[in-house]
Order: sequence, then C-alpha cells, then structure tokens
Amino acid sequence: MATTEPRRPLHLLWLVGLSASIYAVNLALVAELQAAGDSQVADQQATSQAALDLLQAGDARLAGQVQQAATALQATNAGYGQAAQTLANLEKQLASLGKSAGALRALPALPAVSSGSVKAPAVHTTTGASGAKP
Amino acid sequence: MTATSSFAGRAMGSPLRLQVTGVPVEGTARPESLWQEAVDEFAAVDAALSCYRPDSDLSRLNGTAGSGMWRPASRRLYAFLATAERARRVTKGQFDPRVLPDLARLGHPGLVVPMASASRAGTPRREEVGWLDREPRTRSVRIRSAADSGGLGKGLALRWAGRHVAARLAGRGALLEAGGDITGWGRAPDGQPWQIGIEDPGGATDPLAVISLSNGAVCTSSIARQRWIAPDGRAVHHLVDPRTGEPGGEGLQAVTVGSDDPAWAEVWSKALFLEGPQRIGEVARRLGLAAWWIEADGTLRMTPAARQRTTWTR
Repeated sequence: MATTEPRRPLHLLWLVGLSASIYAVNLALVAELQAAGDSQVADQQATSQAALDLLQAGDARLAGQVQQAATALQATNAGYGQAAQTLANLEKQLASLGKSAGALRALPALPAVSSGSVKAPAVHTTTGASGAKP
Repeated sequence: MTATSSFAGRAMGSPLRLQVTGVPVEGTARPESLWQEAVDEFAAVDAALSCYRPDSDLSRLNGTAGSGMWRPASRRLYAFLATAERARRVTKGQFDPRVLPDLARLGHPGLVVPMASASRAGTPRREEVGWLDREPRTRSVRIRSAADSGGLGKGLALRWAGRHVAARLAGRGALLEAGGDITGWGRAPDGQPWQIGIEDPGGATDPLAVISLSNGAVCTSSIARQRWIAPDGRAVHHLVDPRTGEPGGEGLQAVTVGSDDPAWAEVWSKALFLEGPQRIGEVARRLGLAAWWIEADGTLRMTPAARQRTTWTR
C-alpha cells in the first residue's frame, strides 16, 4: 500500500519568499530614493541657510545705518532749531539796527565846527566859574 | 547890525550884565526898564536866599534847622527849597543843598552857618531823607539841616529875572548873565544866535570853544576861582561832594551845561562835575544833556547834544 506523503505548501513558501524579495527590493529602492531626496534637501537647506545668514547680516547692518541716520537727523534737527533761533535773533538785531539807522538819518546835520588854526570868533560873552562869592 | 543896549552891575556877589538888541517900538518896555526889573529881582533873591547875609530868609530858616519849628517861607525861599529837594532826588543825591556845614568846616569865607549845623559837618547824609517838610497851603517849612543856596540860588534868580525880561522883549533879542550863568533869547545884534565862549580855566584869552545860544541857558561849575586853603592846610574848592563832605570831581576843572532853564543847568553842571572825569561822559550822554567838560590837563570834551551847539573849538 502506497503511502501517500502529505503535500507540502511549497508554493506558499515560494510566494512568501518572492513577496519578501520584492518588498526588500522596493524598500531598498525607496530608501535609496529617500536618501537621495534627503541629501538634496539638505544641500538646498544649507544653501538657503547661508543666504539667510547673509540676509540677516545685511539686515543688521541696515538697522545700524538706519539708527545712525536717525541720530544724525536728530542732531540736524537740533542744529536747525539753533540756527533758526540764531536767525530770529539776528533778524531782531537787524530790525533794531534798521530803526537806529532810521533815527540816525532823521537827525539834523551837525553844524560845521571850525577849529585848529582858525582864530576864535568874536563872542558876546563867556561862561566860566559860577557860584556866589562873598 | 541892530542897536544894542548894554547894562552892567553886580548882584549876589557876581557881575550882572544885560544886553538887549533892537529899538523898542511904541508900547514895549525900554531896555532901562528891563534892566531895572532884572536888578530888582536879583536883589529880592539875594534878600531871600543869600548864605552870606544873616538877615536873609534862608539864613534865618537855617538858624531853626533841627529844632522842629515850622516857619513861614517867602515865595522865593519856598520855591528854592522845593527845587533843591527835587534836584536832590533827580540827581540821586549828587546835588544836595545840605553841604553848607561842610563848606563852613572847610573854611569857605563869609558863610552864615548856625552852630548846631556846623557841629554836624562831615557826617554822612546820603541815606538820610526827609530833611525838609513842606506845607504848601500855608507855605510853611521845617528843615532838619541847614541848606546852601549856592549856584542854585543864582540860577533861580536868573530864571525869575529872565522871565520878567522875556515877557517884555516883544521880539527883541536879549542876553542876561550873572557870573558865568547865562540865559538868552532871540538873536544877537548881527542877526545870528548869541555866541558864548567857554572860558579856558588855564587863563588863556581865547575861549576853549564857542557855542550858539538862541533861547535857553548855559551855566558853568568851575574850580578856577573859588579855591582857598582849608584850616587844616589843604587846598580845597567850593564843589563839595555830598557823599563825602569833601571837595569832589578830582580830575575836572570845569563843567558847562546847556539847558532850557538856568536853574537846572546849574544843578546839572554841579552834579556832573562831581561824577569826575571817568563817569561824566557816560552819565551826561545817558541823560541826553548838552555838556562840555574840561579835564585837568585842559582837554575839552563834550556830549553829542553839546556838539550840536558848538560852532568853534580851539
């Protein structure tokens, strides 16, 4: 009597092995692809960081320059205020001088005074010592 | 050239002269009449204000100084006291009639000074006020210190005599002078303003300057004449500084002031003299006075207002 050996499910093992192989290959492919992508992204990130650092440095420099400009503007404003005050004072002095000049022009001309070698003119009387005497 | 009438005499210890130009027309005062009015006014002022006469109104009042007695004052004495007090205030004490005891202490000859006042000579009085009380309604006065009429008395005499003369000139010119104090009106005989010479205190014949005078007065305070030796042997003069009680104005020989009024010209000539050579220019210019001053070395200086009236300088 023939003994029948129980049939082993070899096809299943085969299928499982095949599937595992396919999965492994795919996984390796995906891992490779991801590694390549990650590397590319890292490269791009490094480039962007450098650019960002440059931008930040430029921004800090610009902020400093703006601060300097604000300080200079403030100083200029103060100087302008002083100059305006000085100008106002000068205008006042000029107006006063103008008034004085006007008053001077309004003065009558001084009479001619003879002096030096010209002989003393005749006088009607003289003024000298005053005060009562005993 | 118009006719001139000239008169000369003496009043208040000084030469008195009057010149009147032109011929009086019908109904106007004759020059002789104007002269007589001037002489009478000077005599009346001398009787009222002389410090050399014991019977003058002022000498009698000085005898009551400090006693607290009220005394009636003649019109001229009252006016003198009021003017003297006003001058003291206006000049901030540079003019002060209360130098009489100091003049007596320094040996000024001939002054009538009551004993009580003489004993107070030399005491500081600049801060002291209220030396004079006046009652205008009854024209009564009370004084705490004896007063010196000095040059102001003569200036007032010239003012009052001048008013009599000017009121009756009727367009004529006149020049009235009393020992260096001069007041004039109108034109000189040649039709020009009166020409007044400022005497050289050094004694030269020619004046140091000539000034024009039409309507106004010119007075001079000088140490050229009234100088003497004090009892302590010092050479002193009559222009006493009220702040010190001693002769003042060192460095000046004479100060002439032009003004509308001879009394105020007298006041300012004395007050400016006491400022001395360092301050006189500044003070006179600030006050707008026409002032000429002669320094110790004979240099003549003047204010801008005086320059306007000056026609000749040596």
